[in-house]
Amino acid sequence: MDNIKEPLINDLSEAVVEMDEERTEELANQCIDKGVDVLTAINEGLAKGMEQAGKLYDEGEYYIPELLMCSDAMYKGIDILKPHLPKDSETKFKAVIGVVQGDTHDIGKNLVKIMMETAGFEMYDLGRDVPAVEFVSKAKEVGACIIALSTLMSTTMCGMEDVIKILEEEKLRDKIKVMIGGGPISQKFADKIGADAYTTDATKAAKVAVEIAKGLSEGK
Amino acid sequence: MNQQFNFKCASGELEEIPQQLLQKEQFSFPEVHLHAEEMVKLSKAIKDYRNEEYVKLPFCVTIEAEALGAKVNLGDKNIGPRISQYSINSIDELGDIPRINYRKNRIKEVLDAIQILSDEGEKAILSVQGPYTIAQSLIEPKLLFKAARKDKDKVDKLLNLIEDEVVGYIKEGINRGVKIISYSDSSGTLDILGPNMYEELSGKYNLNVLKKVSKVLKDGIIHICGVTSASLQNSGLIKSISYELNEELTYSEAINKVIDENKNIKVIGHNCINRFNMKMKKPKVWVIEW
Repeated sequence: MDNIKEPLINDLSEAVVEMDEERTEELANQCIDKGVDVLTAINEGLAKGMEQAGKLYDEGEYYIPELLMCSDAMYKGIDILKPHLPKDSETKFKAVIGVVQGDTHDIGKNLVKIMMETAGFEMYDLGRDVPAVEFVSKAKEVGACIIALSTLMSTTMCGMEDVIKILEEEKLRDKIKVMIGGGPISQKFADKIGADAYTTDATKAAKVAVEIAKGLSEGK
Repeated sequence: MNQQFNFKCASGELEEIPQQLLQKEQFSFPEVHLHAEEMVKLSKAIKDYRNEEYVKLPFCVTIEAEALGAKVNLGDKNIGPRISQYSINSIDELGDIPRINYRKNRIKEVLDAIQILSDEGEKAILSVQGPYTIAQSLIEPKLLFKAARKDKDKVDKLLNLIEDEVVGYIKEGINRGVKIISYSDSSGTLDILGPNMYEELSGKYNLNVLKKVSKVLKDGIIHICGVTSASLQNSGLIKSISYELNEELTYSEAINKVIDENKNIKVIGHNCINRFNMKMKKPKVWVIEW
């Protein structure tokens, strides 16, 4: 990176950490104007800013509202930079994510989606109040290796087990792994329903997702 | 320094309508969420099934938000009511919510059901959501967070309006004979929002509700969900005193005993209303003050 472009990338990262959408947009446009490599701007600027926000969250400096606002700034930048990406960018791991049927609380799900995107996943977000069967059909359609399920309500946790049962019925259990999380979820519940992973927060979820996806691609 | 609390919600299936009752033909869904007579029937059946002292209404957490403009998908036997559409779509619309009309919609049915149950001599619990939890059913949380940074006055206006409506709803419930208000602001906790946003969006409004409601409670009490009261205490807005009893009692028996001996106690917290029926060897009742 040359001397003019490096500060621009650092500023981009900082604008994300500062939750400043307008500044992120302005800097992303400057990157285009000055011919900064788009992939570098996304990975070293926007994604690094989001990583830093995740670190501040782990350290108790930032909380969920701040993380969501950082992610909005990041997405503003991505919207500007993405159309300029070369078409043959590397193939990413794919994952389907959503809140199970009966629940509309999606903050946790959104955070996991953001952190998994930052970690390099191509995410298919089915939103909130999603029937079990739709997770499986979407995962089949796009060739996802992970289904990530979230709920905040104890009354809707059973929807997670339904997804696992459908995967078993369709003999997809070894190809598609299931991660779960949310307020009432515990490792004990994950063990009970046979989920592959339970994590307590979004940054841990992203790390575990990478391990799972790598494991699957290496045939483990 | 005030003691820090860590309360983990473990109400699990006690929050649900028991499966055995769901299968009975006399209960139809979503009618149990729609009509006072159906609410009365099911609440009594749950009370009998669990051998409880109290009937509890409603069977969902969407009543207040619906009365304030959100659209609700009433669901079916397996999955209950949930918000299907926000009513506020931009920061400019923040001050624009309707007042609750107690003569219309499901909120009327809930209050009518409370009245019927009280007239029949049942002891009724009314579950009420706090302002932040209601707000995030009216508007996407992210918009609310952004507004809290840039348009603080508008957010304050919205939450003040909701606070007034929550207090009004509780007063209506008390007038219809409610014995216990089960109060919870489960989405607006300290660990979700962080200290600054918690203070701005949740804590102070909950404290206002508690202060206002404690003045109008006749012989009833307000029971705050442990997650909600722990957030209030850990942010320094309330304090708590524990009353420990040296005999085996259920949680609700323990509360009754403490209240009988201390008539001025109005607010209890740091525990779960779904544990009312659980036997405790050495029961502890936390009284909330500020």
